[in-house]
Amino acid sequence: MARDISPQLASELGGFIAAHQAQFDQIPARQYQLLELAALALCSEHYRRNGYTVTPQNLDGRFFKVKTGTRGKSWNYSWFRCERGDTKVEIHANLSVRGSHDDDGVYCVDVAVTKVGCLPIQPAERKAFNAVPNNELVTFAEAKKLVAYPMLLAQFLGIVHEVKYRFVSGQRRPRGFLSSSHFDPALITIGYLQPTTQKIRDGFRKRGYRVAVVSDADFELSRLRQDPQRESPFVQ
Amino acid sequence: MANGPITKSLQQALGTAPWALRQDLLGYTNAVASVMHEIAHDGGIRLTPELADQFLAMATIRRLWHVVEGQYWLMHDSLDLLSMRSSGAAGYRIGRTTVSLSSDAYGDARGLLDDLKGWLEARDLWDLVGTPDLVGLLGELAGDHGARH
Repeated sequence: MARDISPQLASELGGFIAAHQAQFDQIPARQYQLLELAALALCSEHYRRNGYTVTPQNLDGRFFKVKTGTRGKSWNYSWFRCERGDTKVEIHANLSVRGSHDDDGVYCVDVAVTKVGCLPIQPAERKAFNAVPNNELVTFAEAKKLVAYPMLLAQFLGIVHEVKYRFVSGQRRPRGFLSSSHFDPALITIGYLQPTTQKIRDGFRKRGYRVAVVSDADFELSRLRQDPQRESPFVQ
Repeated sequence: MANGPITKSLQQALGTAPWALRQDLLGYTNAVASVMHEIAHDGGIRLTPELADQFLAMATIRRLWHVVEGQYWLMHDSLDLLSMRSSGAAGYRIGRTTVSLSSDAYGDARGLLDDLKGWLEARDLWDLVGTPDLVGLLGELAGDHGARH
């Protein structure tokens, strides 16, 4: 059939969308959920590719139950446990953590890498719990379904400033951070990196900000799946 | 800028799409329209109103394909990475959605991907959707129009 790009084609596309209404209706809500899933998969894959054994914990039957918002208790959801020799961390989705500053700030980060056993076990501890102490948070990632535009980077830096101040303070990373193959606080986006944003990111590096920006996360996930030797996208 | 007959007709056709998806697609069309002349300049292509109209319509359809494709591959890749850990986990539960190889969400996403691919192939648009970037897309269309400098 010859290519015919005309108003008729547009109207046929309308017919296609109408015929698949139920599937298209699911897309907007699902995109956000899948972004969170992609961020979790990327972070756990980072550790696996750096020699850690990664195992899901607290499964719901045979399913990894992903926490997708601020509501709900983290111990009712699944997480990944990553282990390499004596170094052990956990990866949680949407975990409430205390901020870096002494102001009782509590923030829910999309993906949190924590020391093991950060969640309370006893009923009394659980009742009193409202956030993981900041010193238990190793690093974190934020996921956005957006093109990585300059204001998004600025907003992310603000989050790092409040949640893990050390990484934007010009100080060195915590002792053992690099040798344990942790990644710097990261912004993960489904969109592409605008040319101006690329320059801003390069500027972050020059100013000593220890942050990572992973754009096109869906493509990145695909490349990781296709190439078992590919380096983690957090290594920049 | 997005006001040619095909683009207008496409905007109307997208009326049947869910609001958020429609906003995404139309926002994208407008963003492409605002940089269309730079894209043509980069590709060494003379942009006529007819070519511009076809280009914007195809850029929107290409975007729709990427949205549908992205949804499926995000599920597929996340499941693949989970299974690579030999974890015994069959999939993910996200809110009320279950994502596993046998779940409705996965099947629907795969079905939509296959149907849209078939629709594009039947209209000889598959190679246009597969162009790696917008300069490439405009170049392909310009070839049809003989509009290269």
